[in-house]
Amino acid sequence: MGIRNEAALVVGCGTLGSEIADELCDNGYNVTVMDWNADAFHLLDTSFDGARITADATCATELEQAGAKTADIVIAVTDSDAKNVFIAETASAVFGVSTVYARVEDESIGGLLDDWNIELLCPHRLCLNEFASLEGLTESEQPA
Amino acid sequence: MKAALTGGSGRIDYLLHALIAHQVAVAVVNPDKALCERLAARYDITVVNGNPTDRPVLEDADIQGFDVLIALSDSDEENLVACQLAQRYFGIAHQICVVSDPANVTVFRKIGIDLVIDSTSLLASAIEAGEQTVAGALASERNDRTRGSRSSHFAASEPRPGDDDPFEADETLAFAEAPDRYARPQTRTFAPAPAQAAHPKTLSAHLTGRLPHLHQA
Repeated sequence: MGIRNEAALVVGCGTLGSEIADELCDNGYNVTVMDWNADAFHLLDTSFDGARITADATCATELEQAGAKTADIVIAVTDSDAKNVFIAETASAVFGVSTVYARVEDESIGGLLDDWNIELLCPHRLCLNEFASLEGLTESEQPA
Repeated sequence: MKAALTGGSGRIDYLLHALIAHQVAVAVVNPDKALCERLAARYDITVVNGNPTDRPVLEDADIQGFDVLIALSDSDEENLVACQLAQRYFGIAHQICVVSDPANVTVFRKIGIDLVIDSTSLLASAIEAGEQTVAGALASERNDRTRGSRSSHFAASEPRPGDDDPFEADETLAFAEAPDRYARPQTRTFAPAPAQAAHPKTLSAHLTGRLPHLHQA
């Protein structure tokens, strides 16, 4: 157990979101996980002791009520690139959250986040980098 | 002036009607294939069937350097992404974004969308402010109906759904060979502007108020 007493809001409790929430929880973060579908929370570990909020993350008010304004870290990992962009930009530009992550599959959409202080999690890019590293390939240039 | 219209369903037809009447060159990007077929059959404009949050789809619509993008989807986040793609990759300086959730209006403005239209609040305030007007209109429509008029909402020159509407008749026209894309040549002949019903007037007033320089054809 860590002693990181930071507040983290994880938006989207799918395979990735639930594991991120569990991981943060194990590391001592004060975690809130948000999903529009209450059934999604069954993916969390039984040891998860954070808050579960069933709400629509594409509404700024509901994000705020889930704690987006007071969070130290917001992670947008729903299954939709557009939703993740909305959540991340709202957290960063409107609520002033200092650390924001967004999972975005489409790199053109990911490029929209360059203007903001948002960390991009691009699954296929990460896989490609990992593959290149395992296989000892020279890293390919990211397309513009 | 050139305008891209992304997403949206029913209202898009009326908006197109008004824009074309104002000599605006329009490109439509819409995920609804049936709607695209109808619009392409009815108007001499570029119509691309696809998701407007997909950059290659917007590239297909050839909207580089357009004056304005109007995002009409029911999904706020899709409208946001379409507007930002337009800004970032297509040099479109003005975006008009329809927002369903009133809570998102301030957010979209802060994020940098040019003009945010809160459709839900507009409707709500219209109902609040105009309960009596609505009641009056309904009463008058009932009277019209008893006199044989089909609707009081359309001026005589305005096409009425189901009445003189070319959609159904044109359904089978011309697009069998092009399943996914309905691009038309950029040369257009505009029909003379039809007499304006209330809806197009409101729109043009809105556009003129906000984006005056865009109106110089």
